[in-house]
Amino acid sequence: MKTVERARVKRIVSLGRNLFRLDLHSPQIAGQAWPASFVMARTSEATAPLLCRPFSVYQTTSEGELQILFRVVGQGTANLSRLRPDDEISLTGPLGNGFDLGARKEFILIAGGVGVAPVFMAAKQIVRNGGTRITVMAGAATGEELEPLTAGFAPLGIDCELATDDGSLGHHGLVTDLLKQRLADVSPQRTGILCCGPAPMMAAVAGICEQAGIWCQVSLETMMACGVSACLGCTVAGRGNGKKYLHVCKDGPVFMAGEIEWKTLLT
Amino acid sequence: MENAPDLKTAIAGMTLRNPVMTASGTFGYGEEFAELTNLHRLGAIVTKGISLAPRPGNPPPRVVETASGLLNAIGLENVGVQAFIDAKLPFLKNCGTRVIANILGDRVEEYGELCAILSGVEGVDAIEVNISCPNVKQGGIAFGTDPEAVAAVTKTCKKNSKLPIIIKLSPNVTDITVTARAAEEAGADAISLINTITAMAIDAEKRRPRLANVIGGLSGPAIKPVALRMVWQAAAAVRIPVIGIGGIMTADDALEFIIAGAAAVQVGTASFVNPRAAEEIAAGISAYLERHGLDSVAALRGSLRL
Ligand SMILES: Cc1cc2nc3c(=O)[nH]c(=O)nc-3n(C[C@H](O)[C@H](O)[C@H](O)COP(=O)(O)OP(=O)(O)OC[C@H]3O[C@@H](n4cnc5c(N)ncnc54)[C@H](O)[C@@H]3O)c2cc1C
Ligand SMILES: Cc1cc2nc3c(=O)[nH]c(=O)nc-3n(C[C@H](O)[C@H](O)[C@H](O)COP(=O)(O)O)c2cc1C
Ligand code: FES
Repeated sequence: MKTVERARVKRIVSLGRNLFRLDLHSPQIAGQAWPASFVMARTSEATAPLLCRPFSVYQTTSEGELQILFRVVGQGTANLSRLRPDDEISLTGPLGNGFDLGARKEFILIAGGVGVAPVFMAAKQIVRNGGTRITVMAGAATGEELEPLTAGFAPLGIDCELATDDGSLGHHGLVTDLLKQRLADVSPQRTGILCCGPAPMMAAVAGICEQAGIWCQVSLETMMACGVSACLGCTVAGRGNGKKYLHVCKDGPVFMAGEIEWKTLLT
Repeated sequence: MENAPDLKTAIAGMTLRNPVMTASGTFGYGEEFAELTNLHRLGAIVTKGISLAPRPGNPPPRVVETASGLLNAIGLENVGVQAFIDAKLPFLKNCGTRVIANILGDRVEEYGELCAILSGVEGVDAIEVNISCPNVKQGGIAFGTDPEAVAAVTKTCKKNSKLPIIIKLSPNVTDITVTARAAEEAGADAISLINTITAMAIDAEKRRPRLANVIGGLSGPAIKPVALRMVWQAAAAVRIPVIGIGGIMTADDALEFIIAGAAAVQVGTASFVNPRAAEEIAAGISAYLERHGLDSVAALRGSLRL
């Protein structure tokens, strides 16, 4: 059940330039969150920024802690970066659907930048469920950025294949190069892909999976005014015989890659 | 409480628990907010706009934030009247508050048909008629800006329905008193205003409009002073009740509209920012009345000291 909760800041951790982890005491929402669920956070009590901002749940603890990872891209996220311990913010959540973690025996998890948040939560859940093999492929602009984003996987016993735009860590190039190199070993019957990152990356992964016949789910981002399926603003174009428009906050944020008309998401 | 002020509000032949309703298109069909706020503490829920046939709405992006405002071009996406009755109304019937169905059409006859259909089902307490949404190319715009069209739609709605008819005016006119009077003279039971103000936003880097539809409707705190002025003018021009809408975020905002002459208010964009906004505003109005020794909302209405 979704709730509005006053969340108290426990700590805010700088993970590098413009990149933060915010740890909140938010027991009601943390107690219910699932992989790829998201929260709407009010970043100001004033009228600018006006609307709440959506963030994926990164991690929760049994003590009621809820963590998000965020990159500062505008006023709302800049406000969040200035929060200090014991400050309070309004959160609504958990919202949206989630990754289907029971669909396959083996998963390749693909993350770009802060898109690692829902992917990490999925990895933790898969490990907890047991019996499923996981490979993580993660990319970012630089190693300085990618390193802290992927540090959580090793303690789970999960190896990461890394790619950076500048070649400072792992493969020099795109995370989709890593996927292409692996394709020969991937069994479409056993393996599924879960993916979150920038739209061009997800579109490329979707294209590769479609060609190779691999089951693939993506977690999308669009502009959201409400997060609770009231404004009908968070639309993406659907594809084929499916619905003309899909609503990311209600039908998503997770979709089968084949449901999305990727061309319109990229323009 | 012994001396708790009476928030009951009589409007267009209905009695509301309090004068605070949710605005169309900002509260879904009520169910979306059931877990987040106490629906039975609202004066009424106004539904998302309903048309005869389902509408898919505009291509994305459909929303963008502007300075203290929200610009939208949803394009009146809705499930259509039949799905509303089958899938949405059963919840609303039992939600513990009044239900006002907001309707839209692109022909006068469509408004009439919708009124006839909605009058024949149980669970709808009143109809609010959107004659003003600026988003759809062949949509409401022509009705809301032309007093003759306003009158024609109002008459058709009245003829086809026994329910109270609230005409929701467009702010995209030179003189709001003209369309307000046109609605009153044609038999409207109440008017509500304002709908969103036609507006646009541009990404200078890309030299592209921020909305796929180019033009959208502005809502939120940015439009409140304009809305307040129009409600003040309309309330002075007509005798039927006026429902004030536009940028109401707090109880103080709502009180300003009531002091300007509104009999009731609607809370829109604020519900996105705080899902409990409408409920909290109703409580805030009650606290204000108590603090000022007023025993009802009616005692405050139109009490602006000039
Ligand atoms: C379901 C979902 C989950 C998300 N999870 C995370 C997360 O875990 N970590 C994180 O850092 N970000 C996440 N985002 C994106 C985040 O919501 C935006 O970065 C944030 O709203 C920007 O707010 P701002 O005020 O700082 O920037 P603004 O000034 O609002 O915008 C700055 C730039 O970011 C773009 N932008 C704004 N809002 C969004 C949005 N909702 N989606 C995509 N782009 C946007 C704008 O077009 C603009 O170019 C998520 C978005 C969604 C929809
Ligand atoms: C996303 C969105 C959708 C809306 N949809 C409708 C609608 O379907 N019918 C209607 O009459 N008004 C619609 N409106 C207008 C609101 O009901 C209200 O008149 C307007 O937003 C001004 O109030 P506010 O500033 O409190 O939001 C919509 C507004 C928004 C923001
Ligand atoms: S964000 Fe409002 S409907 Fe999805």
